Amino acid sequence: MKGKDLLLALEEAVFNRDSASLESLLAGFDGSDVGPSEAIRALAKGMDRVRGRLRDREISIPEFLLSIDVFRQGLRRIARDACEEEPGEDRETRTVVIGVVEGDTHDMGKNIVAAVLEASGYRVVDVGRDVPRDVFLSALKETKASILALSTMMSTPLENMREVIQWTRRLYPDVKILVGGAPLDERIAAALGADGYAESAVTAPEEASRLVGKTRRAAKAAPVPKAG
Amino acid sequence: MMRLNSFRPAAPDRLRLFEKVVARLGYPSPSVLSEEVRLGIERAVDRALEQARVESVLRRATLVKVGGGMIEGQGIRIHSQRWARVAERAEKPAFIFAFVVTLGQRLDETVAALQRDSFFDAYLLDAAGSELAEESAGALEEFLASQAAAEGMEITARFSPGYCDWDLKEGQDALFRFLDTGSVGVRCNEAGMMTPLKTISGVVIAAPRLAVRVACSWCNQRECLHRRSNGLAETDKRV
Repeated sequence: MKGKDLLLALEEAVFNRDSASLESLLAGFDGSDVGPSEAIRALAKGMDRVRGRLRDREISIPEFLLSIDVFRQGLRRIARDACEEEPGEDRETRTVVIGVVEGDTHDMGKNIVAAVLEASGYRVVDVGRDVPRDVFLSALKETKASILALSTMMSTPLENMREVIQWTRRLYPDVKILVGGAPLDERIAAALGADGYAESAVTAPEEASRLVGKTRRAAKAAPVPKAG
Repeated sequence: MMRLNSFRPAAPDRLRLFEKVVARLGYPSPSVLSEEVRLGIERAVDRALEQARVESVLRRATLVKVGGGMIEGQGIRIHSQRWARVAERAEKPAFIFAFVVTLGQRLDETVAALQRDSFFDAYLLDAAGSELAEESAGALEEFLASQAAAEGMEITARFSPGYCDWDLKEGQDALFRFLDTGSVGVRCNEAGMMTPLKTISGVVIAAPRLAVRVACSWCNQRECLHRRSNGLAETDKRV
């Protein structure tokens, strides 16, 4: 399969959470017919449609995660076989530093949000879990990220989150701060000083786009995959 | 004050655990599951049962004072207005059992490893682990009820730091000072978070006669998932 047919099939493989089909489509993929960035864009389109289905409650979270897994499988395959890294014209403005604040090691939600943001075209720098303030600040300095995404599943680390937010405001006032996690809602997020609140992985891309003042685009995925 | 033997519950029935996981994930019944999700949950349940190493540590403390928003046993204090009221209404509250029950580190490691290739499998195993931890704590609670019954006592529903008005950090500090949690490999960080992640800590109050088993009568959080009425669960979640 080649050209537009291949791109459509890649999109459908993600949409239908069809790992075997994706593997078959990308067997021998070298980027000579369809470019790596085009292929990744097709995968991201599939993810965008899947996100819509979850938002409309047509599928469940496990089914959504199956699509993310197929998307990541495709990213890895393309990155391994055809692409080292793709410079994007606005990549610097679309970098997100993401992590779980100090005191908490629950990181699955953060990892899923990171994958979804990546599928939505962001370059994601994942600094991990139980992350001290200074690690976040160093990552912002090194990456020149435009968004800092902070997460916790517990209420006790919220003070640590507030401190990271305050120091980010002081040192990197242009960085937009997005927060999410079980103890948070819009009101608490605002009280902590965050610019935005993402209720789930479904809403995270829109909220991130709102913060950086851009309309959402489905197809500008960074080609280097994250492995969990 | 005496140290009880630790308790190791029998593995729960596989089908029962499967149904609990299905409900935890928000499905109304197993019949609505797609084939891939059903198989994924079955795989997760099998993995959880295989990888969990359920261990617990228990300790009993004679009550020395109840009132003023506090339950004080020998070696442990619980600051909770609501649970103090439960104790105050009991007839001669006698002692508390404190406990920690854990599924062990291996399950956490497997969830973390699965995330590299499959969020789907990691998410389902995490859910199965959470439900297995609840089942294990439930079995422990039944064991404590039988221990208390042998002395002519009833016990309250179990309650944990971070629930109702028992502060998470303060409650965990009290429990971790009181219990030898190192013997089962459980640690608690500055924020009150326990590792391994699939660990439940808590206490029950024992008395010859209880007026109520839960503190929900004094709480206005009508939407609380753990809310119970007259000692019976309004939802299938435990306190």
